[in-house]
Amino acid sequence: MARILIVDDDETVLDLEQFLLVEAGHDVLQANGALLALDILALYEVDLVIVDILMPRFDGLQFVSTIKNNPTLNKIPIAFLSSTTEKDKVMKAAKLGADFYLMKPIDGKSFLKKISSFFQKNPPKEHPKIEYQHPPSLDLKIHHPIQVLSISDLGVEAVTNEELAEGQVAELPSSLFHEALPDGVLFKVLWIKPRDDGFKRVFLAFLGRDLEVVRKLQKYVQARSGGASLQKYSKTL
Amino acid sequence: MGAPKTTEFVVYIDEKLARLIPKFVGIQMEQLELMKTAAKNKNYLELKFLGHRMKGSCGGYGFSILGDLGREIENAAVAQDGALVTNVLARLENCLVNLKIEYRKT
Repeated sequence: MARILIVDDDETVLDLEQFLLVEAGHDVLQANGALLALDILALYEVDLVIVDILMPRFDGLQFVSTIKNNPTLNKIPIAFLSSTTEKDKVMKAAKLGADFYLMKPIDGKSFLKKISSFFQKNPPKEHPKIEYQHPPSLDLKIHHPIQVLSISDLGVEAVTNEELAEGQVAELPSSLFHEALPDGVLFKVLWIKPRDDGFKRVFLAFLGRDLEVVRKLQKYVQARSGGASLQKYSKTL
Repeated sequence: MGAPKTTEFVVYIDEKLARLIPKFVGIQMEQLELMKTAAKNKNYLELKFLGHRMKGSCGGYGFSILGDLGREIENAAVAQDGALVTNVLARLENCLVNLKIEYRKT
């Protein structure tokens, strides 16, 4: 079994890839953007990254270029997944050192065959199982005020004035989400970026990946913001 | 004289994918609305991106008809052909509204 990170801005592609790879027995991490994928690579060792080339803001080529220039990440095998027929992008991907290519739309059989063939030549490592259980003790509880900006399968990006330290374990109180969040959902403070106004932008990675909880949180934030507060914050960031 | 019979677009999907399909179809409906807004604003760059995305995602689930329409939208956007964009979007909407999904064992 290999651990594979899939990166695509299209949720339907992530769903299909995840389904196929899990059915084939792999452990899958997913990111709906390249920046989040970099955060995941800071947390977890993976045997392969499958990344889309064309993504808004930070595309697959920029993502791979960043990885290849990072001495701790530059050995990670990369597969590009794309329907692009733009020759310059494919040539650039080749120059960046992609290990192989996968075509969109995904054909399940050939997709898995190529991946299986890659792992026959490059056997995956043994990874410690990602721990979904809550750790026995907490370092910290986060209380108000905290403004959630977005929620992905990996965690919560927020603005807060709480005193936090990278690497700390935190619990967001259920009251913050008006019952959408059960008690005891734990996060690790992955990164902190100070802002000019004294507040901090933080990324809180889930220590558990209960996707049902994640979906509820996403719905809660979408319903609560209606887009307005997110836009407001986006402008100030 | 009754109303004209609506044409159904029958798509055969691997039953293993059944649990993914409602979300998938919902997202395509959302994409259609985004495309209509982009067409209204003559935002051909956005239309090209959305068409490209539909082309790349739908065939993998077995909805090659939607993937083909995505490709047509991408091409019409590259040509900045507003009339063609309108035509293809109408066909896409008709297809999505009249989609009939049949699950099959593979």
